[in-house]
Amino acid sequence: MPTQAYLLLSAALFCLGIYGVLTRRNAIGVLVAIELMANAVNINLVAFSRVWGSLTGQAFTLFSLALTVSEVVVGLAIVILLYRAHQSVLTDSASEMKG
Amino acid sequence: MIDWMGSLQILAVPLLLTVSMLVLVFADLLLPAAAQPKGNQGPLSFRDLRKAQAEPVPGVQRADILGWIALVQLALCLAASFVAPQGVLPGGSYVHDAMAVLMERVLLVAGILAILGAFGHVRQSFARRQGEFYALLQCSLVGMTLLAGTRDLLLLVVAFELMGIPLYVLATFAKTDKNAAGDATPGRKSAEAGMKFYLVGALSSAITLYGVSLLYGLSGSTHIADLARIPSSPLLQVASALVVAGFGFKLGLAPFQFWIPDTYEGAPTPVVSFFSVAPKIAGLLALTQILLGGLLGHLQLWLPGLVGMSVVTMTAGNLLALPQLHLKRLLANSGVAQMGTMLIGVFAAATLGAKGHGLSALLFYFIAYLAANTGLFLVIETLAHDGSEPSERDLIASLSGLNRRSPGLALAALVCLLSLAGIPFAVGFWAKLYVFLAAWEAGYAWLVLVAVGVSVIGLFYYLRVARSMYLGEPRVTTPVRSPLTLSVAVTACALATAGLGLYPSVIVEATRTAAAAWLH
Repeated sequence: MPTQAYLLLSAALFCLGIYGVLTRRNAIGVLVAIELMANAVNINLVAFSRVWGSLTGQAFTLFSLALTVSEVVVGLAIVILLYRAHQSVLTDSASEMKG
Repeated sequence: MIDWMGSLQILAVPLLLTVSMLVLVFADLLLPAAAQPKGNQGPLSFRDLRKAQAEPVPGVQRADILGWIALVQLALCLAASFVAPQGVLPGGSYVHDAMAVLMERVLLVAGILAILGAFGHVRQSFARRQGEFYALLQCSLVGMTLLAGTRDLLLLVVAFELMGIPLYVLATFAKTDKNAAGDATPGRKSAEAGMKFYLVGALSSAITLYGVSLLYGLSGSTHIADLARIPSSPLLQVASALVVAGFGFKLGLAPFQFWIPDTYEGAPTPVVSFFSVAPKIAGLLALTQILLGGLLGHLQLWLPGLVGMSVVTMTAGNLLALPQLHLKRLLANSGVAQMGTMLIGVFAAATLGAKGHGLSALLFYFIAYLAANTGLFLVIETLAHDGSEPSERDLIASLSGLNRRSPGLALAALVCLLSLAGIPFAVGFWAKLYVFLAAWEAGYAWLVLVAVGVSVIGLFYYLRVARSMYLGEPRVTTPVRSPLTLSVAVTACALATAGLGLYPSVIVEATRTAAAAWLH
C-alpha cells in the first residue's frame, strides 16, 4: 500500500478526534476523542518509520503510547473527581466559573 | 565507547531531581502516619477519608518535615547546577549549555518559592497527602529542567508531558472546600479547574504530537537541528501551524487562552503561583527550541501567524483583565498579556539571530515575570490564610486597606504590581524595555507601539488593585497573620523585584552569555 493511504487514514482519524472533542458533552467521550487523535499520531509515526527505513519512528510510537496511557490515567481520575463533586460527567455541569 | 560518567554529570540536575522525588515518596511511606484519625482502626470508607482530610488533625507536624525535605532537596539541586559540567549528551539529544544552566536555576527557584508558599496551605487543606504534593511538584520540575536543554523532538515531547501531567493532578489537589459553616464539601471548583486544565492540556498535547509526527516524517530524524533541511512544502506549513497551535493552547496564547482564568481561580493558590510561571517559561523555551533551532529557515511559514497571535494575546489579556474583581482571574488575564509580550522577544531573536538581543531579553523577562507574578500570588495566599470572609476570598476587596493592616505586605504587593505594569524602576520595566528595544532593532516598530499602547490599559487594573490597598477601608484593623515561610517567600520575591529593578546589570550579563551560548 502506498504511504499516502496511511497518512490519509491518520488525518481522517485526527479530524474525527477534533470533531469529537468539539461536539461531545460527556467528559469520557472527549477523552475517547483525544485518544483517537493520539492514535492518528501513532499511525503517522509508524508510516513515516517505514518511509525512512529506520526504527526511530517506531521507538517514538512506544513513547507516544506510554505518554497517552499515563495521561488517560490522570484524566479518568479527574473525571471521577468531577463526578463526586458534580454528580455528573457532563462537561456543561462543570461551568460554575465564568467571566 | 560512551562516557557514562560524563553523561550522568551533564544530566546531574534532572537526575538529582528524579532521585529526590523518589526519596520523598518513600519518606512519605516510611514516616509514621501521625495524621491517622483516632478510634477508627478498620478499613476507612471514602466518606471517612474525606472527613479526615478535611479536618486538620491537631499537632500534626509531619507535613512540615516532608516540606523541609523537599526544600532541602531543591536547594541541593540548585547547588548541583553550579557544579554540573556543561556539555553535550552522546547522540546530541540534550545539551547542557549556559542557557540550560540559567533556566534550570530559574525553574528551581520557582519550585523553592512554591514550596515555601505552600507550607501553610498543605498543613491546613491536605495534610495527609503532602508527600504526593511535593513529589508531584518535583516530578514536574524534572520535565521542565529537561526542556531547558533538549535538542531532540522525542525528548522534548516526553519532557513536556512529564512537566504537564503532574500539574493536572496538582490543580485538582483541593478535593474538599469549606462552605460558610466550615463543613467540608466536595471541591467543586478545584474539580472543574482540573478538568478544564486537563482537557485543554491533553488536546494541546495531541495537536502538538501530530505536528511533531509530521515534522519527523518530513525530516526523517528527531533531531531539532535536522528540521532545517526540510524543503518548504504545504505539509510543513500544516505541521508548523499544528505545533504553534498546540503550544498556544498550553501557554494560553489567544485565542486559546479561555481556560486560564477558570483554572487559576479553582486551583489551590500556591500551585497557581507555580504553574502560572514555571511551565510557561519552560513551554516558551521549548517552542523557541523548535522554531529558532529547527524551523528558522522557514520563517515566512510561522512568523506572521505568531506575530498575529502575540498582538491578539496582549490585547485580549489586558482587556479581559480590566473588569475583573477576582484577584486570581485578574492576574490570570494579566499573565496572558505578559505571555504576548514575551513572544515579541521570540520574533526579535528569529529576525536578528545572534546579532540582536531578542533571546537575552526574553530570558531577562522570564526572571522578572517569575519574581513579580509569584510574589503577587503568594500575597493572595497570605490573605486567604488570614481567614478572610469566604465570600470575599481572593477578591480585590480582600486587599482593601491592606496598608493600614500590614504596611510591609502592602509594599511587597505594590512593588510586584508596579513591576508587572512595567513602571520604572521595578525589574518589569527593564524586562519590557529590553524586549521592546530588541524588537525595534529587528524592525518591528509598529509592534512595539501596539505593545506599549496595550500596556497602558494594563496600568488601569494594576493601579486599581494598588488603590484598594492604599486608599480602601480595611474591614478589620488587625495585622495580617501568615506563616513565616510564606512571609519569607513574599519578601524574597519583592526584594528580587525591587533589587533587580535598581541593579538590572546583575542578571543582564548572565542572560547575554546564556543567549550567546545557545545561538552558536
